Amino acid sequence: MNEEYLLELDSVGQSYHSGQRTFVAVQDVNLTVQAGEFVALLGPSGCGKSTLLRIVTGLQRPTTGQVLYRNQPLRGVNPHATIVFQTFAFFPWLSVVDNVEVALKAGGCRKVCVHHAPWIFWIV
Amino acid sequence: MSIALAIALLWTIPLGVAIGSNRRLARWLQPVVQVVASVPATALFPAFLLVFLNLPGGLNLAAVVLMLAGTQWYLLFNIIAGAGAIPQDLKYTAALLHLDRTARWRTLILPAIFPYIVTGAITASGGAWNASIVAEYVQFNGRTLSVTGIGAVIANATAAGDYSFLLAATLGMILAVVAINRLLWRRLYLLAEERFCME
Repeated sequence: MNEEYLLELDSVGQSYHSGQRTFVAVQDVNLTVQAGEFVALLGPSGCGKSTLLRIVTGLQRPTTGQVLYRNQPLRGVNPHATIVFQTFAFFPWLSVVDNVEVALKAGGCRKVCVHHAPWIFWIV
Repeated sequence: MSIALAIALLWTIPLGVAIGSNRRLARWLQPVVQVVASVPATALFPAFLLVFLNLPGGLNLAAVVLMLAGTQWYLLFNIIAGAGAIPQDLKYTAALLHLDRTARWRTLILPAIFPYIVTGAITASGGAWNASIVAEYVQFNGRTLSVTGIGAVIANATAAGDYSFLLAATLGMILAVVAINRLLWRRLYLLAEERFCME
């Protein structure tokens, strides 16, 4: 029972309000993911995969239920999670190397390792 | 004029980005801004004059304020549109990378709204040239006040009926406008198109 899950969704639901109308995107989702597990969510467009992904990473707070990361309730964006978007979401005004550097710097990488980025690209 | 533009940028960028990226804020601020913006700047000029004329450098100050009042809205509306057009995925990426405020402004917000700032500034500076004619030369209470500037020269020549001088001054302003458009705005515009477009 006290087993540590990497990720735990506890009856998570998300609904959107627009004026009087309410749209339920996902409802009552329970899911546990263990470290090292590979999980794929399949479903037709508009069934709530992206909504769930945003909730899991903490980009969006679910309207009901809660998200646990390593048994702790998730607050704000999870620093150990990320999303590769369909559009890739690179910064279009930065070069490839600069895009990588932004991520490296944000990940707490110091100057020394940032300077390795162009070198690594040269190898590739 | 550049002072007016700089002051305008200083307050329109934060407010424009705030309105453009926050739907709830936009819902009640957008109508307010539009009503305030619809008040013609020249209509307020006499009021500015009453306040500023007794201060040192009064007319200069009033001229800057008039140009500001006439131009800031172009910038504000463009920046609101620009901030609203930042793709959601890029905002999410910035959040997922935990970019701090400085990094987020430098890598995401400022580059994304740069083309909109340039468009707004080009429109705004056109309005500012126009305003300078009204702002730099004032007849008030039987006194004529003017500052050094091409706008004052044009207004002065018009008042005196000196047509050859008016023609020369107007040609001078046209040349200045064309030169600044070519040398400054066109370059910024090309930069915005090449480097900072969302494709």
